[in-house]
Amino acid sequence: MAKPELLSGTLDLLVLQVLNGGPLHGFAIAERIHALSQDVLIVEEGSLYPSLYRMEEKGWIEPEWGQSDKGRRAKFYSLTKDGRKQLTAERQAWDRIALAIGDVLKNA
Amino acid sequence: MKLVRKTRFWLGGLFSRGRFNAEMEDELQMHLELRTEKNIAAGLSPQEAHYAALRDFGGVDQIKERARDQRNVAWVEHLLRDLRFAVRMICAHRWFSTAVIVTLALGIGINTTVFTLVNAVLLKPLPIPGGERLVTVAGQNLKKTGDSTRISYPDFREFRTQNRTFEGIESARLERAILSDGHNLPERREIGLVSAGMFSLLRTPPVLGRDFTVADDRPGAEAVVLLGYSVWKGRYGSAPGVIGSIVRINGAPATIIGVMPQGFEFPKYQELWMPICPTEQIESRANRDLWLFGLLKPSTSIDAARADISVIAARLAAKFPETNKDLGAIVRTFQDTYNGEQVRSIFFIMLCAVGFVLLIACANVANMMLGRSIGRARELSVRAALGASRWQLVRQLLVESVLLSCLGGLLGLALATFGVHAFDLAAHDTGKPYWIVFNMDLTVFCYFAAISIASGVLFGLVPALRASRIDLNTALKDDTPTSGRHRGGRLTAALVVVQLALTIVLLAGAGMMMRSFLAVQAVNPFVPAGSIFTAQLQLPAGKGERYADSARRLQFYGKLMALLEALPGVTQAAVASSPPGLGAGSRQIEIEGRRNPNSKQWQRASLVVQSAGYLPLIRLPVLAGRGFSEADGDTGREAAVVTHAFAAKYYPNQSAVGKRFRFIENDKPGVWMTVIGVCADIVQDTTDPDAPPPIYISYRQDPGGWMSLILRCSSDPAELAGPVRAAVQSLDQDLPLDGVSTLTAALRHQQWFLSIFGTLFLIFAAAGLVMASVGIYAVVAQVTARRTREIGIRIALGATASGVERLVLSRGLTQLLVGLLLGLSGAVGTMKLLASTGLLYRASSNDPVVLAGISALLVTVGGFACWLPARRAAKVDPMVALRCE
Repeated sequence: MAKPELLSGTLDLLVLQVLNGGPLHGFAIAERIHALSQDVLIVEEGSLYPSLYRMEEKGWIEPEWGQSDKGRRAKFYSLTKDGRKQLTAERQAWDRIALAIGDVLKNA
Repeated sequence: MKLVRKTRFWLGGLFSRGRFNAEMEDELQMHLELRTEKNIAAGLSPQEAHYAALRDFGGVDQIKERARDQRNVAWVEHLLRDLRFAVRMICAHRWFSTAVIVTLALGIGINTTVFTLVNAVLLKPLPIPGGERLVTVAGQNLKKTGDSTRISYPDFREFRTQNRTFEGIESARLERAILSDGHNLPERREIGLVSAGMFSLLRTPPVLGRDFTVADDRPGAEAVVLLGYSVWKGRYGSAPGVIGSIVRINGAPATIIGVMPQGFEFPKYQELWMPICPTEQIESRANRDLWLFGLLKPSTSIDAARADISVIAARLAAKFPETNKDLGAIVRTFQDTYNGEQVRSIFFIMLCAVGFVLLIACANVANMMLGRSIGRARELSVRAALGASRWQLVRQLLVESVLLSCLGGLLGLALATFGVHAFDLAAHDTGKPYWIVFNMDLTVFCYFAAISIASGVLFGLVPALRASRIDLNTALKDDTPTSGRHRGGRLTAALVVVQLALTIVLLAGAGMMMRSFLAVQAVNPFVPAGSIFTAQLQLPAGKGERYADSARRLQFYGKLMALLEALPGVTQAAVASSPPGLGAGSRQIEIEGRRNPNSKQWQRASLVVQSAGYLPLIRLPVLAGRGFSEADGDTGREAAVVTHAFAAKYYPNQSAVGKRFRFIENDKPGVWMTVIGVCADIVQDTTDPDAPPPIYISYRQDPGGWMSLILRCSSDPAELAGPVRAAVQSLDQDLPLDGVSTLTAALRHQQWFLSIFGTLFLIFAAAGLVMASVGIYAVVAQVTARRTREIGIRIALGATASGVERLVLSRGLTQLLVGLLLGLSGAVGTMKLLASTGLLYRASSNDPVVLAGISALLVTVGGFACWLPARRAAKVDPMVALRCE
């Protein structure tokens, strides 16, 4: 089976949702999404970092340099207030779309 | 707060690029390490684990680049990098860049100059607060094809009080008046008789003294006058004490109450202003002689004002049918009112012409860029191979061309400053209204910036798109410059053809103006204009004025001519209603015994009223019959001399001498006049090709108040001004003398239009011709240079020099001919357009001489430009040529 492609636009939502649990660095974000999706979703680095930089620019997430659990210097991202608002908005939008698509698939 | 953080992020991104990159490097490095560790944990060897991590990761640099591009500052960085690179390229190819910059400077400079003129004449509002809201209100004859009329005082009052869209409406009557006082010579000046609120409407108070008040334009108010700055300075030496003193305006006393600001000559070139005090005559609704000026309320459209005013006009028409039946009203912007159709069309044509010059310049530069992009193919291929996208290549080339055009533009701006100054000097003495000031303002600068950048994109885009379309394999492998031989060949040829075609169109315009100019110069060759002195007299001949009685006027002219003939240096003196070549009024006539084909449409003739010595003075030969004697024109001896054209038109195949005709004025016939002689043809009006044929009658028969003095002199006519003025003053102290000049100068002044605009078009066309010739030369030379090896082989195989020349020439000449044919069709259109403006003397829309002349010129110059590289090609040494690559 081919690797399922991440729906365009959903990466931001996933990253925000994962960060809602607390600050994480880039690698951990990718791992977390991978694990939470039961190993289905694979986040490409080529998409992850541009996404992180874009959201940082928009002020949804905030970087901070800190120590990782293995004592390495790492850049941790955490949600800002704007980010939390954005997450709520994107979740609602996603729920609506998922529901709508489900309806179509069920009833067609 | 958000803004602050954003700005900091932005600025931080721009200025701490080093740190930003280092941190990103760290971050990605750590990611890579963590991934490697995970792979090791999954059982791979460290080596394999590292490679697997890298493979999964994709291109690290691409990720970095994409992450960097997420920031807003990215484009600034790119632009700066491209700019840096462009500057390096421009400096590296110094001669190439100079050629491009000079070409563009010419194109942009000429454009900016002409736009400055257009802006001054057609666009810029009057320099007063709210000037863009200034409009005029005029009457409009609704029945007779919408002719516009002036407005009566009572109607003005209604418009002023009843409107709801104007801040104010004021009126003016424009006249000329004689200004005299005890101390200086009397002078005739332009005067505006205005309603008292005029200057407060225009927000322009006097610089000295006081403005008119409502008390000043009441009936019977004491006469007051405001002086223009130039009158105050020139006539009264800027003396502040002049306020309160009394001068005479047309002989009636008036008190000077103030001086208007320097340069203020509202509405056109008025130098004196007095209030209009309503009299019984002014209060008549049938007496329409006022111009109305209004200031719209802020944010009121002119359409709303139009609706408002026409409602009032309709009400007036219904209320006063005797005077106002079928009388509407129109509102126009101030500019539209004073810039006739002709002015607008000539400036439009000029703008088109310089647009063509700029297009030629751009085509030229585009060709140069195309030529060079072939040489740069390797550089671009290397860039593409290193990962530059097509868009990045195009952007970089565009930045380079826009930078070049901006540099050209700056040089052009200097050129334009000079050009505008030169035009200002040339147009100084042409009677332009005071508010036309030729200077550069923000509008001009925006236009300049827009065309500078647009030309950069225009000439840069096609070469950039073409150059960036790279087939990496062939471009990198192939080492010989001949590889690009066919690329751009067709495009280059098309650009050259376009340049040549546009040049022909410009040449057609210039050729037509020149021909018209020369034709005007050659008019009436028998008139010894260089030794004729002219001046205008205007006797106050209105009702109740000094010369109201025609016998007094006759007496005055008789005495004056005797005085003038006695002056040393004067050989003959005459008076005439207008000097030769300077126009004439036209009259309706009825030919005796000839039924009018259409009783409503009378025959017409141009009438010159003159004294007996006039015809011999201007050397107009009498072909049949006789000239005037002193007694002709007295009652019972009404006589006329007609031109040959008149005789041929109205008395075909018979002698005109002894026949009779009469004037029809207001549908009433005058006395019969007998034709006593037929004189040679003369062009009396150089501005109107359809003017009816001239006839001459004696001034004794119709002694008007306006007469020109015509003196034939044996010495320098320029020295006569003083003595002639003294002679006039010895007869009448209060009579000024205007328009003192030689006939040559007067004719030249009449033709200022052709000389100024003819010169301009000549400059445009010359610039176009030079650019197009250089363009075709460069292209032929470049193609030839690229074919050197081929030519060498041909010569080595026995091709003759003339054969090689033909080979090279044929390509250039084909382009030349195609351009010529295309251009000629455009040229005919242009000539038709120019002829239709009615600005040119005897202009025909397809003048074969002009068409042949410009074709010959283009073929000669263009052919020479092609021949130069051809000759060089023919001299190629085959040994050198074969080795050259």
